[in-house]
Amino acid sequence: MKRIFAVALGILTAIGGFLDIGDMVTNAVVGSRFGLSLAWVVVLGVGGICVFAQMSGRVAAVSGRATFELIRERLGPRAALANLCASFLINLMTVTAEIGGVALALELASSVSYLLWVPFAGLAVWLVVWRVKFSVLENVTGLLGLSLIGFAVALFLLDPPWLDLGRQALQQVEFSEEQTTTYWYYAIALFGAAMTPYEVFFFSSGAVEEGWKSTDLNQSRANVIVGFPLGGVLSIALAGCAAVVLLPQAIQVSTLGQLMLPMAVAAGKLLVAIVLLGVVAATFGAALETTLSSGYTLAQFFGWSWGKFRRPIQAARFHLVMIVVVIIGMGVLFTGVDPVLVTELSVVFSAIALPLTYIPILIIANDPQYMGRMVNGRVTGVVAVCYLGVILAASLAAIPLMIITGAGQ
Amino acid sequence: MTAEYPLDPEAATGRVLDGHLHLLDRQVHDVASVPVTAVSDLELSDVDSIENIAPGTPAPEIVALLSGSVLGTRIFGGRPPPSRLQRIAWSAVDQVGVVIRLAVKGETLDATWSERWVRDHIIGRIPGGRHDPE
Amino acid sequence: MPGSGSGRTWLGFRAAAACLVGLMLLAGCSGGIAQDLLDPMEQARSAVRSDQLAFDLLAHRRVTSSIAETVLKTMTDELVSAEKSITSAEVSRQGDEALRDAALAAARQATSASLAGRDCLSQNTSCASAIEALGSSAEALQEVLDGLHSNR
Repeated sequence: MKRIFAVALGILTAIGGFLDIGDMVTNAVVGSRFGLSLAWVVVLGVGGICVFAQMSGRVAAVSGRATFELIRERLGPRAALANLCASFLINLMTVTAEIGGVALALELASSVSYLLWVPFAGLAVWLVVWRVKFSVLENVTGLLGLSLIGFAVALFLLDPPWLDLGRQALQQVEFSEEQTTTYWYYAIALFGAAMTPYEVFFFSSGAVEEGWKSTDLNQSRANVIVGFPLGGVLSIALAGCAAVVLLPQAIQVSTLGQLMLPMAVAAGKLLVAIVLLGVVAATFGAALETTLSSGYTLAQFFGWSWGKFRRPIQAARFHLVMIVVVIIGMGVLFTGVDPVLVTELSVVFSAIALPLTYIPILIIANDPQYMGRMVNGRVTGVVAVCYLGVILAASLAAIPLMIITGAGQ
Repeated sequence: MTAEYPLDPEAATGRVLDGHLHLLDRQVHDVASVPVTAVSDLELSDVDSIENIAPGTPAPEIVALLSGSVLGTRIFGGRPPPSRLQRIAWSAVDQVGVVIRLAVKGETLDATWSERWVRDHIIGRIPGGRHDPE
Repeated sequence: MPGSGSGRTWLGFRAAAACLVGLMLLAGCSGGIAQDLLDPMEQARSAVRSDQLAFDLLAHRRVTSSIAETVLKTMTDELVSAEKSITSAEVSRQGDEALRDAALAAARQATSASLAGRDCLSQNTSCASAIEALGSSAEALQEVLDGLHSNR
């Protein structure tokens, strides 16, 4: 019984853990402009993150060590430094976006300007990272994030024309007001939103944090492989809600408030409140994960002591990095830049930097010196290489498309 | 990978280590398994450059593991002045395996000065820093 | 040879830079002012319709006033930025100025309607006139958009 409970908890946490402000904003924007015609990208992205997590989980299980330590060792300091720079900058952008997301959600709940919530959100993120135990942090935010099931509930309550939605998903509809280049730009953005690299560093470092043995890691990978697709379903449901309510009105989502309107149409204040709680929880959880990831990557590269299982004084530089990251994030938000814009840019830059984080894991997972007999099997190997192709294509196409479409105008 | 056992530099028979493979960029842990640093470079005795060694010269020995600013010079070229090298003496090394285990505590090493500085001046001063997470 | 490798890299950089500049020019290539005005006008229409939806939901008590207020606030900001984009649109041909002025007028009408909506909510006064103003500005925007589409 206890085992079933633990498994369920793991899966449920993964569902809430998959969704962050990037997923939510990008799916809402896409739903309001392209309907469900980009749903296939979510499917592709979920597949990718599962492959990614599976490989890095196996690497952590077999080697007993966190990802970045291995990257420097196996690929040398130059490649690892390039990886570190890219990952760190993207992490920083993502932390900013997530803290901004928490503040925007609290503004919706309270009418108090989001700028006044930013210091509160930033401080809360830091306090939890400083004092709260790893497992508590994971479970609470993950479970509360489950409220985002509200997206699926809303879609059903809206009684949508399922056939039309199906046709959109299967590419049988043309959107005359949008151009092909914009379509592909958002495809890349959606892909970057699903395949968040910080997830991988967080995952493997978390394995060491909690002292997982091989069996625990297998359990966790199973959670991810069930939980992430369910999270993907919720993303698509959100896009569907936007497609049903906002697309016919030519309302293009560009704020968190517009994202919530379909929930209100579906079931009024109660559903909105539940979903808003989920948004705060999932975004807050993602802020914690990305902040910790920043600490993990830097500390593991330089060989510093790290980990939440240690007292802060025993991992001083690790904690200092995280404090600085949160402060920079808040600083950027205080300049008044639109957090939604930061979010939209962070997912595209995630896609651009994805090869730098993916390729090292692929190499190590294939290296018999590290993995012994547990190297990528034939099926995993083929799938992983196919995804490599997709990731490279997305990364290369991102900047030209961003320029041509003016970042999705 | 390879077996782990204490290193005895005097023994004629022993393990063969590849400096690049087994030492460089490896994590270094102290006697209590606390991470200390990552090896950025190696200090060898008696040679100015590995490239032109005249035949018959005695083999260079590893003097110390290096970390810190030497990482920059290793990647981009150049060499920091010897007085600024952060050394971990080779004699402090206990085991070479998946990580390099030292026989001393990290506290006593030059390489952890920045950790101690940050701890004493910043982290230690924030309330709650000395407690276990709850 | 020591030089050739870096020479080739330099050539590669120049080619990439030329491509990027080309792309930027391509991006800047407009199909006349009608194309330039399309984006801000669609943005404005989206904002006004969001305002209308928010008020509608508020009237049916399906949304809290704080959400409606936030939507109105952010949409007003969007309308202001849409106005700015319209004013900065390039006038190059004969009928362009008239088009731009019509677009600007509709956008300004929308902005003031949205402002009225934002204020009536925060001051707790009657929003009936604001809602009406939003309705007529939505029509005005649609008219201009139809004109732009036929002009393309």
